Amino acid sequence: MNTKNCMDGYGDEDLVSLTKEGNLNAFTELVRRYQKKVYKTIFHLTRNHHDSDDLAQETFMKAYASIKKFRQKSSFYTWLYRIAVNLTLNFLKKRSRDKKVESFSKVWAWRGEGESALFSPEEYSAGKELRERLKEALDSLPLIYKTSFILVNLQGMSHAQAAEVLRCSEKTVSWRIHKARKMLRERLKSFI
Amino acid sequence: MRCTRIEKLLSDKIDGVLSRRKEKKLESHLLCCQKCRSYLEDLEKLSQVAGELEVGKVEDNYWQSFTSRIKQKVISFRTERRKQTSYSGLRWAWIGASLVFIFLLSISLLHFRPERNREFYAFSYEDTLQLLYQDAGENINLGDLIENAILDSIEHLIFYPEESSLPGMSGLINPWDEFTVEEINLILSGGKKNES
Repeated sequence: MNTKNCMDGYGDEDLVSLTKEGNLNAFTELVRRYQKKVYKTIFHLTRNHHDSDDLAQETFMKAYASIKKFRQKSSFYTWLYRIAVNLTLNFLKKRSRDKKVESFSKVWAWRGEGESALFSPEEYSAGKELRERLKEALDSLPLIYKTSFILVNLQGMSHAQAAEVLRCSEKTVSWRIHKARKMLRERLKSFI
Repeated sequence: MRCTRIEKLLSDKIDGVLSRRKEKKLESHLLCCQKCRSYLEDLEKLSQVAGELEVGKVEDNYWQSFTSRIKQKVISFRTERRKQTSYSGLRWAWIGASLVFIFLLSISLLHFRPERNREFYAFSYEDTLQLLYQDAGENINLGDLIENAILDSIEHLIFYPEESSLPGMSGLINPWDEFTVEEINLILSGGKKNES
């Protein structure tokens, strides 16, 4: 039976309820829906494929183990992100980041090679340089600013969603992002 | 409005969370402040470039294998949890049963302890019984022997009560209370029934 086909029509809430009743296919569908988003968020924070893979798996396993406690006051997506972000932040606090960082060129890529045709070679080269510097600058941000920036700017969350994930107020998220942008601008001034 | 405050509003504007009132203030400030317009351009550029950052080198089959791995892990997790639950349940059942057994045993020992009556001690007067058993091997007239032993025991109990106090008996007894006049006469006459 194709899990994707038989569960496609269900909403997240239905899938969560089915998972609580012991339906494994329902949970597999939730994994399929959010694995990329969760992985990418973790990757933006760790910049290491193996760590991201481990943490993403841990996120889903933790979600499964505690899904009966999930009261569905927030969306499954927000709840799952909260687990992922907490696990990743704890992981990053425990480990020395420098040891885990892989070479930027190995793990970061630009969104599609085809898009380079939209820019002139000079623009492409300048854009590439800026992206490389942005990765470094992002990495140098305090973790709390970086996380807020990634959730909103890279994952496309609203301030309200990010606030729910980070368990803080929207104003705090707004302030952190402002500070992150200001720091990034200062560090990348000569490349912008 | 100062430029430092405007910078915060510019950040909110990019994220689309600025109120209409603040947006109007911002627009009027931007019209006359080149520095803040430049700041806004830089932030927009940064947001655009940040949006272009992507995770690279993740193959499509990675996501398929990821789902399968999670599914497999969940199955193992469920099996493990079932085992733990059943083991835990069994263990608690054993502990509960043992406690109940110990409790019932204690209760029965406390409340259903066999009561020892005075006659039992009289009959089990050790020396007399020993003699009785010795004689029983040779003498077939057990009826007389037993009757005499009983009467000896009772007589001894009556006349030497301080020597007859046995384990389980609290204090001395007054055996006269327990016998009828006929029985007392019978005892005092040495067990010989009044045939008259």
